[in-house]
Amino acid sequence: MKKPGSHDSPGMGGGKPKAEGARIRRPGGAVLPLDPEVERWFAAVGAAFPASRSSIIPMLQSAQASLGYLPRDAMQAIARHLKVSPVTLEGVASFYAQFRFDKPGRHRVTVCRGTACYVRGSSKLMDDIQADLKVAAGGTTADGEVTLEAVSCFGACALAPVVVVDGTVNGRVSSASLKALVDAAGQHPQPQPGRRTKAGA
Amino acid sequence: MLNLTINGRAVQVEPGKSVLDACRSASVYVPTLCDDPDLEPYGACRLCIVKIEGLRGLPTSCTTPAAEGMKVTTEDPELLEVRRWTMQLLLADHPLDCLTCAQCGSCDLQTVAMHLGIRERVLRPMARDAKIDDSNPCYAIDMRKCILCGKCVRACAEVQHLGAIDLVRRGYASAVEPFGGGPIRDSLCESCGECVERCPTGALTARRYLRPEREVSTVCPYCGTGCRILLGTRGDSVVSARGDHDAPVSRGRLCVKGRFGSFEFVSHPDRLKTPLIRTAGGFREATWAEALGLIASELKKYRGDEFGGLASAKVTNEDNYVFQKFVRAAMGTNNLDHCARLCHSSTVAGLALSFGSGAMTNPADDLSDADVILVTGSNTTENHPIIGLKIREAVERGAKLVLFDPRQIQLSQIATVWARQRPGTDVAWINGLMHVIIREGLANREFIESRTEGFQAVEKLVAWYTPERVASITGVPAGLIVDAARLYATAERGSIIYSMGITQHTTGVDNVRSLANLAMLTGQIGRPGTGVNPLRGQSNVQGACDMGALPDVFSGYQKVADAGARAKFERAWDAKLSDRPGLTVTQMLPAALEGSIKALYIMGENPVLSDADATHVAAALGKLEFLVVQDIFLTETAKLAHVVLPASSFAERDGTYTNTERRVQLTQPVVPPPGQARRDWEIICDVATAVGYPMAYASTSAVDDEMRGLTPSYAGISHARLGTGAQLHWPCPSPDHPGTPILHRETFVRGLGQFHPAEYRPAAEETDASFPVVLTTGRMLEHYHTGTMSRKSKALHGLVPGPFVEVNGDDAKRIRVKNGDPVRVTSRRGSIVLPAKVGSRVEAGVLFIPFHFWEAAANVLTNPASDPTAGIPEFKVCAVRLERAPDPGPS
Repeated sequence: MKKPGSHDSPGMGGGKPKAEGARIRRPGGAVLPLDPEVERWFAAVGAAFPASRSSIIPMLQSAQASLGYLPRDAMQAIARHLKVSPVTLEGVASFYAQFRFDKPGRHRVTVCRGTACYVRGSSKLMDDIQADLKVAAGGTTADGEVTLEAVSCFGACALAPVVVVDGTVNGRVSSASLKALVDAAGQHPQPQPGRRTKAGA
Repeated sequence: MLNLTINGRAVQVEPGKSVLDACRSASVYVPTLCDDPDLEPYGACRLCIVKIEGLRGLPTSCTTPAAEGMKVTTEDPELLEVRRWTMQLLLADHPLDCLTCAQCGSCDLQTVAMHLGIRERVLRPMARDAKIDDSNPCYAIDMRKCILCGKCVRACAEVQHLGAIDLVRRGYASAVEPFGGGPIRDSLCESCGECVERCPTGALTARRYLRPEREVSTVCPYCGTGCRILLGTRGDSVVSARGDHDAPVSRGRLCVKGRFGSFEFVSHPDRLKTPLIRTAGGFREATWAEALGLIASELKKYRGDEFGGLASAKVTNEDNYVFQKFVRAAMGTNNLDHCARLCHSSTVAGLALSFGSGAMTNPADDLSDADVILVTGSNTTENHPIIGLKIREAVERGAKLVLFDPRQIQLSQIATVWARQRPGTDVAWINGLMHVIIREGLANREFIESRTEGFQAVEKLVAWYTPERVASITGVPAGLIVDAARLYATAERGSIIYSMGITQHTTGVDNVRSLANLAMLTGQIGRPGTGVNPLRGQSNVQGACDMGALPDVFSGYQKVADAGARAKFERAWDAKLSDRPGLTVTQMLPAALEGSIKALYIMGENPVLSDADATHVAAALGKLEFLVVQDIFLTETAKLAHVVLPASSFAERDGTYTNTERRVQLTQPVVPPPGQARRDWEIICDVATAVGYPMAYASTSAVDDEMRGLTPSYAGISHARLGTGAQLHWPCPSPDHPGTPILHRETFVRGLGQFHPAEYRPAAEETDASFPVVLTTGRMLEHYHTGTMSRKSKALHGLVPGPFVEVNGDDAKRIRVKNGDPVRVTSRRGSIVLPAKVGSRVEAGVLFIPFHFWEAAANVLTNPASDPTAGIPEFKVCAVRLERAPDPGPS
């Protein structure tokens, strides 16, 4: 199957939102227009997918790539296009770990909980950063700045404990150096391109 | 037939059946938790595993097709062991509070545990983080008891064609949820309860249910679809309701009203239990003898045209037959009508003129044969939900839906063409469709020539109705008119479904006849899957019309003005009958106001809420010298009566009902009437006897026998025949006639179908500077008519507790109101205050108010202007003003 369109950023190709069919039913029968960013994605990319059930996963992936996550309106738009029930899409999407349903923070901090990192104190690292950011693993800070995640192993055990900040792998991290890394990331409005550093070195 | 051996026993099954079916036909129990006869095989629970010689492993019998020569073993130590472990896994996180569980005694999980001899839970119990959703007043959701068999999800998709819920997430976190995981109440759920009925455990349970001692099948008291309900009883009370799988129309399916809201009112404490006589300070209880004596002495004064009777579309054919006989023979007048005047009198008049018979031409199951279904003025999925399912089913199968409706109703989501005409412009768009069909050479000339007359006049008239002109009248884009015309005209089998959006206009008859023109123009009538199909609104509104509860006809539409018919009835009834057609309900009330009608007898109707211009109706009834109301509750109308008589509800009477498809169905009493309440026909007989015209019947079927002797179209539909399960649609002229599901097959009932040229005429009341908004009224899924029955149900009342007005977001913004804020709606006749429901279900400049709610009665506003032929008021269009209500106070 030809992949229609590329995974552009939400701002691209937003000039011609589809006027027709751009409304969906909300609970209680009220009908509201969808979120404009979703409509832009749909007009630019989504509408070109063939309207068959085999488009479900490619469309979910396309929407997430474009919007950063799968807002409810994106599933509504896909459901409308494919003539399936929105909850059917949610059933598919929520089965896979690759899809996220909450808007991610501007920065992403991933703490490794693999065996080697655990032995080198990653659980204390996680406890401290959770207390510091006032957010549980898997969540996003109230100001929308940081999403904190845990992974099972990064495969960089020699550098344990490992924390990835915005795609940059940091080895031998301590609670203090992690706080500094997160603070430093917060200085940049956009995530910096990923590279490897040894924070403790 | 396929030959199989099940546990050494030979069985035969039809090809296409599963191994599980074969086991069952051998009377062998195979445990299963996810199988359902109405759903596709799924194979989720893994309990129906069997051994099949020559096949490896333990295949699930539900998903394995039966094959010739199969040798099946359903139970041995290995199978038992595997099943026990499967059950242990299911039980690991299942609460064991069986004694206090709502499903106790009818739980499939219990049955399987019992069958397998489970004595202890061997796996470490795990508490699942599952939620209790208490938002729906009809049923309870306790996900801790869910075993993830997927039956509810499949029922929602495969039976209800909706998809409100699905299995989300995976592993331990798996759960059944509506979209977004919020409360079910805020989801697409239509509360039909198909999931509740199928849930094998206590995860989904009806809130009001007691295990019945016995169950009796009866016809649902709500809309005209004619679904059958199995009402469960204990002693004299109704304690449960479920769909009757043997019912021909509904095949076990029910909507929220039928399943959750059909029986609470039966044993409601407010039921009338004794006759009531008005006193200075209100009502006092009276004996039957006293009440009948008073009625007799009063009614004797008003014999003739000072008297009027309103029959009821909610009681049986027998009740209505006796009522019309009472009014005509005992009271000597044809001033007789019922609420069909207000819903489909334009259908009865219009289709009778065009085709010779004013009823639905095809049965509802015919929709499964249709390629194109044109729905207009019918919110089918809400007001005739089970027929709505047949439309959804057809669309899923590939039929195309063409919808003309000003509101964004649920069907608009599955329509191929959805056009939003301005309310009151139906003749224009129908003429537009015909214009396109003729212009593009899609007319069925052969049909027109051989089966119809009067086509030239229509051809000439519709020439003016180009799609562009129609667009400017109706607001429907010209392109959609063309698309709709092409789809309908080129369909192999095209069916028209319509309801009160077509009939309740001052142009009601023209609207109906225009649809008839459209069907004749394309030859879409007289064959399966075609026809012009008005959906009737009440359980026996078709029957009440058929029984002659109308001012101009006896039973079977035999005209009172016709000397032959009159002579026949005079002979049978031994009375002199009036040859003058009487007044309609819409004429009787003004006549009461001016004093020419002095006494009214109302059986089971509530005109104060159901008729246009409520203030005027109440004034007219107040002016009467004598008013008798016979009902099951003290309705808004009964409160104005001089004598109120307690009648039976649907659950307490026997007799026949004729559904919208002209199908006659027999019912039995389920419980005895409360207190001194009596059957309607018995009361009427006593009243007639008391006024000096003796009437008495040994039984309901004796009434039916007399009626059939005088009514050719019902002659062959006896209680005896119906009792054997015969499905009979009238006309059925003789005891060996099979009935007529499809009308107008070879010829029209009137001979040739008659085209009727109809010009577009605007609605009686157009918007102007002081009343700039169009108000349209109607019904909704959760309530019924004036709410007398449905609002007594805690389930239905819980879903929709009060009135509202649908307002477009732009209009709401202009008057600065948010969803839920009170607004004032004012017409030339009155004013009501009610909460706004803001959205885009209606377009800007249009409001919609359901008419079920007395506290904000839509009919305070509506325009009593009526169709000149049918006398139906224009409920669907009036001009109003929308304002922010000054004070949200205690309204």
